[in-house]
Amino acid sequence: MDDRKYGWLTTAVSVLVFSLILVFPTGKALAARPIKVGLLDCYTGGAAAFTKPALVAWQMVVDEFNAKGGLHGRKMEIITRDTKFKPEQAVSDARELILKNRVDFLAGTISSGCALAVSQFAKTKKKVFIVHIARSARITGEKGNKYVFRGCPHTAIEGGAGGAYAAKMPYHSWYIIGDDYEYGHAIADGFWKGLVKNKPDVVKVGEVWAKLKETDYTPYLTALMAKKPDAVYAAFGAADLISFTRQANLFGLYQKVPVFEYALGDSIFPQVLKQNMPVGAYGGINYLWYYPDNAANKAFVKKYRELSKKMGHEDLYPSGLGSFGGYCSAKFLTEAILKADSVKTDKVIKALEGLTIQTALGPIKMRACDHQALTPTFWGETAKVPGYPFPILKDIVMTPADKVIPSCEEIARERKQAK
Amino acid sequence: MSLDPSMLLVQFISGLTTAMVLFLLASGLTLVFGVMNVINFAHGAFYMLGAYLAFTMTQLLSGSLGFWAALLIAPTVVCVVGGIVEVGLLRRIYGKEHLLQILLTYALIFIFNDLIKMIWGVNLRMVNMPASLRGFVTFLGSRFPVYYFFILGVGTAVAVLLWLLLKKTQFGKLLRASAEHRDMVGLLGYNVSTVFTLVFMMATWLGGLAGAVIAPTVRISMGMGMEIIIECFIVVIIGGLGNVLGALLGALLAGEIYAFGILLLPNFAMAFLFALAAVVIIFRPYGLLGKPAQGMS
Repeated sequence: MDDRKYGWLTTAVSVLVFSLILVFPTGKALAARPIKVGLLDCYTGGAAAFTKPALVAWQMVVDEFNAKGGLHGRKMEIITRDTKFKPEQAVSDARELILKNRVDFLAGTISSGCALAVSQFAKTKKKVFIVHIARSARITGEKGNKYVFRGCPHTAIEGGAGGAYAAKMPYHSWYIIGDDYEYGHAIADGFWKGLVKNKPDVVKVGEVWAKLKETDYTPYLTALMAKKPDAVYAAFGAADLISFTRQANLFGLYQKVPVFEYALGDSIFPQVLKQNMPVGAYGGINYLWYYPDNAANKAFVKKYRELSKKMGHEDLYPSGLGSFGGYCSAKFLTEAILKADSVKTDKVIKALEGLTIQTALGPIKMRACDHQALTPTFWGETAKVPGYPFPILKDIVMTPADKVIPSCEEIARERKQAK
Repeated sequence: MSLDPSMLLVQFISGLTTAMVLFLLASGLTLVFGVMNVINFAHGAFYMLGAYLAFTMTQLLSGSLGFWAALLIAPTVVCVVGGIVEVGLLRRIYGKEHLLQILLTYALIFIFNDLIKMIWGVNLRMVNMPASLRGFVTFLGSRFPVYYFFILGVGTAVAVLLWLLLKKTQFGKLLRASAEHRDMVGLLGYNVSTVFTLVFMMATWLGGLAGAVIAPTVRISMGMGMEIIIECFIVVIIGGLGNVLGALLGALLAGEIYAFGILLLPNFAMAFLFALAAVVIIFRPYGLLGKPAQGMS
């Protein structure tokens, strides 16, 4: 009889001890479980020149977030995957990150093709996907959805700002040359729209599209110069921009005719082109490490330099395409998590919409209607300025995004038509 | 649109430079197919290796010396690698179906890509021109970089030397004979395997040279071989597989069609080249200068 009584007691105590052993450590693990961000990007080939700096910028924001205690002690952690510029690879990596690594958020990519594919995937998995470099306007335009956000500009903003800048100059006949793929056409379209809007009497005397990764631009350059335009707009993706600029410089294009080349203003290009970097050309970009020359920007550059050295990718001149896009996107995410006081997708989405972050360029807002950050664009003339290691932009003009971005009504119309 | 003669002449010259770039690569490709009956998809990979080696030479030896050394050393190293590939891998697939050749040579592209990534990393590289070849000449109001004339010169020299080799030397006779009657040549006491190895090494030497010569005008990155190899195949098909003069003709046609296409109908420039290839395949399937019997000229 006594045994039976003790039998029950033993069982009860064992179950209690057993559950405590299970719950206590698990509970502790849960409390310390990091917030995981799956960062998908192309780290091979030319793209790495932008994606590695972007990663440094992400780490900068994440370190700041963690140093302040994270979200109630939960720290943030970045897990990267190399998409090799392939949309199928990006989706497959995103799937692995969500199912195996259990990431809370997705981020990336430099490729618009990959971004569009992951955006659709994130929608089905109900995860926030924050785009940090890809430029296609469709990502937050007609193909936008509830879960995708972008912390960097798109081709309509950048092209339009270029057009508005060029309209202030007395160039009447234009020749457009570019990379024959979506980005090239989009950035040229945006530019032409912006130009015509501000200077209706401009005329296009020629337009030619070189195939992607063209080796020899000679016939294009001679055909272009034969038309004798007042000015030229060059719409190339980053990799071909290098080949084209190099060859165009050899042919003396920049001495013969004013050339407007988006992205030429970014810090990467003079470092890669070295003595082939043209002067007297017009370049634009979303961020300049030397302008505005104020305390906020200086502090940002200093912190970025130190971290990049620590991470083994020393980068003295943060770029707009890579570093700043990465920084803003990461900042939007961490600020939204803190504002929502949660990592739950719906709460973070609500916090992101309309959120304004403080950056080296001042406040930048995430527009609620299309989940697009309203980032400014800078244009100027490339010149050798004493005290700087390579040609930079002078006579810089800044165009805020809301002057050139399509309105919320236009976006709503595009999305409706796309259905 | 006014088409004055000077504009046309300028465009013709720029077409010539494109043509020479294509010929430098196509010559090696057609040689391999003509003699060994192998479709070498990996030819672009040797070109890429040549470019990267040129980069390393310019890093090791500063200034112009680096460039000229690169022209000498890069093709040599590439040709040695080519020899190893031929002896180690290609020998096993001679006489087998073309599909196996395609699989093997295509696989080599990926292997080369990754090896290059491991040795040189993923960043973009640039090679600078030697001081003596910088600058330009002004011709009919257009500026032409001196370097492009250098490319023209190298291309022409290669064409002439190859032709002399094939037509006027004993070795050339041997090559042509091996292409047509491999077994007979073997029976006559020549070591056909050695001939094949030498031919492959020659072809890869040409590929490496092309890489080193073209390097200062483009960015050097992984996958650069693939960007140009399709056009090279078109050139070789148009000219006739195995025919070096055909490769030159094909390259000239391709370069000029491209140049004038861009001037006159820019949206269709690429299409013209492929349209020409289609026409040649339909009406003269062995190429403009090719012959029905498998052979070399």
